[in-house]
Amino acid sequence: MTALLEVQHLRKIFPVADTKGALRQMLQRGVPSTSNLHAVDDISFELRDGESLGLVGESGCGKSTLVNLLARLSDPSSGGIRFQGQEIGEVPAQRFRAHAARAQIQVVFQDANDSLNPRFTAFDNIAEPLRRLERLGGAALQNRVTEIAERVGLPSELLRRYRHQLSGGQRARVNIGRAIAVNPRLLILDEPTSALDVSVQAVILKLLARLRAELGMSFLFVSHDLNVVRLLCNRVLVMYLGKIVEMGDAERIFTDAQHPYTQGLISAIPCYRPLERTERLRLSGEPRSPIDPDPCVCRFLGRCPRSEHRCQTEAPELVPLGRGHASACHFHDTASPELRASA
Amino acid sequence: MNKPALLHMDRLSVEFRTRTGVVKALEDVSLRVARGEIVGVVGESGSGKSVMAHAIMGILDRAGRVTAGSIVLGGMDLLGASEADLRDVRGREVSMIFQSPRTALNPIRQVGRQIEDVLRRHAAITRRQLPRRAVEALSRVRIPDPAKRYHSYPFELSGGLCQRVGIATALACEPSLLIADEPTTGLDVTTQATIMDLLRELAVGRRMATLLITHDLHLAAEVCDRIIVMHAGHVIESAPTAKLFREPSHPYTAKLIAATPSGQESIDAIAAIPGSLPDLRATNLPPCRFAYRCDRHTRTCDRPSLTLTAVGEGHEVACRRPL
Repeated sequence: MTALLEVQHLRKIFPVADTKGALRQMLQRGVPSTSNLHAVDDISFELRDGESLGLVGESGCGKSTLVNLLARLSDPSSGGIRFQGQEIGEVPAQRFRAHAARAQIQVVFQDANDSLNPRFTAFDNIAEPLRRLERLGGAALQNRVTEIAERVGLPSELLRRYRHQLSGGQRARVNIGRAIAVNPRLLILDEPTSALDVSVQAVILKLLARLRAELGMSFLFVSHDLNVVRLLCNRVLVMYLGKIVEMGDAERIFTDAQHPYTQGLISAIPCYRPLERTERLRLSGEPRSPIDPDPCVCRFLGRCPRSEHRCQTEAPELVPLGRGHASACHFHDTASPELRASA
Repeated sequence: MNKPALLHMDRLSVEFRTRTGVVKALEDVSLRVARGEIVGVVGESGSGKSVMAHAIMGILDRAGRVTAGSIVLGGMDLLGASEADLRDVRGREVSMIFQSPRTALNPIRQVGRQIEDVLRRHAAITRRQLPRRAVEALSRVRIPDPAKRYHSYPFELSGGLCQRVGIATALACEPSLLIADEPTTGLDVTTQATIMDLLRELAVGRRMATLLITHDLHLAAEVCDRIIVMHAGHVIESAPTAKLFREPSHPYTAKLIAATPSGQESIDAIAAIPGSLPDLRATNLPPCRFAYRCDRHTRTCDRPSLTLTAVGEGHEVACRRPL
């Protein structure tokens, strides 16, 4: 498989004003000193053609910032984004809408209710990208929208309805229909089912799996529901405070997680386990601040059950463990079988 | 179920009068919660879970009306009580944790002060003791550095911390019943896990009774002793957790379990539940409100007066053709 998307050393840093005594500083020095919030900090990965990549992590870890960067809705501070071999990270977000790759990367946003235009009918919501990016109109547009509605399982009589006249599941279908309308190569899904009931969620997940198979798209699937990620994704990236702390094949991540954060995340998935109610790994404490993080300290320090001297003096790098599995921790409790074999 | 129940809800029916008709939000809902017990209430949105919680708290929307049934908490009839009596009970005997922690807290008041408000109303302590007790309440829910957090405003705290403040407020007067309405929606799984551990601990340590309302079947399974499944304003099944998962008796429960991804199966193994909840404004609702969506539906199911029937130890189901 070739790489559809290559991300190299991607960074997004937001300057935040140092509010304490900002006025006094301004009077004395002219400009308030600023601190930097490292939302996405030196991230590199690739997404192969036809792959479904999961992105998991807590709120505030930079998932949404990364999605915005990849969808080219905001500009990176540094680093590169190559899409189908072409550098798109340098195109300013403002001008990206006229770029040929705009139609190739589409996003299904988190809340299907908030992301649909309330004054558009379902038809108009799906037609919007076709009008703008493919300059379709008249009968051709009519046919395409009807075809897409059928593809996402939206009865055509509902196309005349407005957002508030649709159920949660129907809104999700419109939202997905709009995103696949222009035949993207990469579909970024930002928690597409988090607002849905399980009965509807199951239908939408099946729809997504079917669409991926039929249209040959790649997915970047952002979710906090790890069970859903496991169902839909081949590979998983785990983010913590702007960094990738672990990545690898979905099955390996779920059965043989190496980073203590991933282990904590997996052990926190609620699940019916009649026999083992106790003895689960729990992460205590609050995450460190993403503002001006100390480059010599592991970002997970303070919540990590290991927390040793080395963690306070040296930030761990993402270390390959074989077969595409990598983890950023000084202490891989159990070195993977391949690594042990090669050693 | 032979234990003396703390909360005793019997055949409760609630209606909402709206411009487009009367919504029969709850019908004949019975429920018992004993001390130290965690009871889960699960069901799709619109199944009446929150209406039930609001009815117990006596905070139903003005359009809502209890048309039948009774709610008794520790011997006190909550439906017959005066508003003044209810104000004494709320916060002291029964507390509620609301769904969105940020909107449940006062945005322009320090969180410590908000806990003091509850203490001042209910606890027999002097003004001087208030700050100390508020800090204690914060540390009980394991908020790091509680003395400092006392002075924080909600916007300064993360979602998980805000929810813990909400829980600290609810627990400040050590109520005998806690109603937690989707307490971890929108929180991260790691935060959710610590909050659930806390609820479990309080149930065991302080014999607090808990009613956990959630749409997440696995979450309910992990912490609850007993689970009640609701569908369209009816309780359709009630069973001890292990039994509900091992031998679900109502077709809806079985489908709900099959629709929830649990980590092992493939996408083909999870099954969707067809259809949606019936319109509760209809005047001719069938006795079984799941009939429209059920593949086991026959003419027997349309016979009137369907009730919860025992099918095993503590296991009740409202279905004419159980699995």
